[in-house]
Amino acid sequence: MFKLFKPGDLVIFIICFFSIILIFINFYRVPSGSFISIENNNQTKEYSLSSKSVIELEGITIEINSGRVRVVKSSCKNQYCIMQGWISKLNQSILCLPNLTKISIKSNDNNITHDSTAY
Amino acid sequence: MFPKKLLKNYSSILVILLIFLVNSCAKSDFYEHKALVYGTVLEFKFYKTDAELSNKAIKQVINRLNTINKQFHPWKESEISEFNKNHQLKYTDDSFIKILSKAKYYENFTHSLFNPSIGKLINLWGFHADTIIGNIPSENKVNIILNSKPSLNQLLITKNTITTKNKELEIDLGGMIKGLSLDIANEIYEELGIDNVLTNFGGNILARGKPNNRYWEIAIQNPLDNKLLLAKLKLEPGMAIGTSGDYEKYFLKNGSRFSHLINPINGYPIKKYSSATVLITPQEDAGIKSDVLSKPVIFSNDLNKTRDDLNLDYFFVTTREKKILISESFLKKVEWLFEKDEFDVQTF
Repeated sequence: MFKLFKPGDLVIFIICFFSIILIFINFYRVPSGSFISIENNNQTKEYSLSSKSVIELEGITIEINSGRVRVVKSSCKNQYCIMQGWISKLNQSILCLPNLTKISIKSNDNNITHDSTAY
Repeated sequence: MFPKKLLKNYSSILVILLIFLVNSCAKSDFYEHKALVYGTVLEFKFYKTDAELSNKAIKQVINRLNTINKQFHPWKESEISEFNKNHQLKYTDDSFIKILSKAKYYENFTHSLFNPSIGKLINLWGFHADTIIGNIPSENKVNIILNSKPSLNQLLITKNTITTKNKELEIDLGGMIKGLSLDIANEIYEELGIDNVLTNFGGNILARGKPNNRYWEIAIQNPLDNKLLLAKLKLEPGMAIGTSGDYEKYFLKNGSRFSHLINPINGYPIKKYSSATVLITPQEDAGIKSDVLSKPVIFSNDLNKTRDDLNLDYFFVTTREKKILISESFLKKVEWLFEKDEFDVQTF
């Protein structure tokens, strides 16, 4: 029988596997400076990820709990925003167009790279 | 099991992969080095500079700073300690007078709010020690020193000696040595032809050149919590930044904080502000100015007047009540890093 995999393939697989894992870890790492930004009717408000609260805006109710955010209630027709469930990773977002609302997880930590610290 | 040909094929793929990996974590364009000189942390960050040349510069800088400390250290064995004891000194090197003249110039420029002649007062409060225990002096003792109006203008300098008649006068250049060291390092870089390096001496930073495609970027420590950052900004080539803060050297007694920043006018530690940060645009003495000019700012009674007096555009002060008072031009340059509403930011 022909061997489907040869020893060298294993090496390549291992390298690819770890590369993919590394990329994902880097991609989804939530930096400590992250916060929740809620844009509603051209107004943007920021909330701490660690807070625990229910925010009632016009037509939409948003819940923040242990580092996650979701839409609990919405006056929109399709309820896509509710179906999206929780988001908790950096740069994830929930859109609810009928309510002109965008909820996203942002970070200002991306900018905190600096060469030196003055004190 | 391992046909030679296959092995050959795979090994070439592996080699390519390895080259890719090595390249991706490629040799950085930056060369960083830390050192400690007389208790001050020196940090160098060279950009695209030959490592050997970088090390040569670092060595020369450290040598110079050791010499300066042997001349000016305010409480260890030094020429200035000898002067402070005897009020006269035979100095060994002309650089000694050059540095003293600089100090005198800035004392006059700041209307004595930077006063390098109040070493005795600083010692009285217990700050001339490696480990600060602190001591609250009697009003009488403070007044004796203040009434003698100590000033470097009271020095009599001849070809190889300095003397003074004011027995209360003791020299302490602690308020300008870090900044002076930055300017000296800058001279050394110039001599060696080093164009891009960021130098941080005990929290005072001087930017020389810039890395490709961007400016040097620095963060400013939160004066109320050294684990946090307050702000971030870009330093253009030649800019320097410095902060004086009550968190650097202080002692606590009866629930009060006593900072080493002693107001030369009233003889008492600063209470009004917890820190003052000044940004100096590219100019001669940028390093010294980044150090010295934070003193008239932190002791200021009127920030607008201080701005005009010093011809200083970029500075801010913070208070323990979490207020930041910042000049309008500086506000445009900084990016705050604290959580929203943690500090109340106002311009003047």
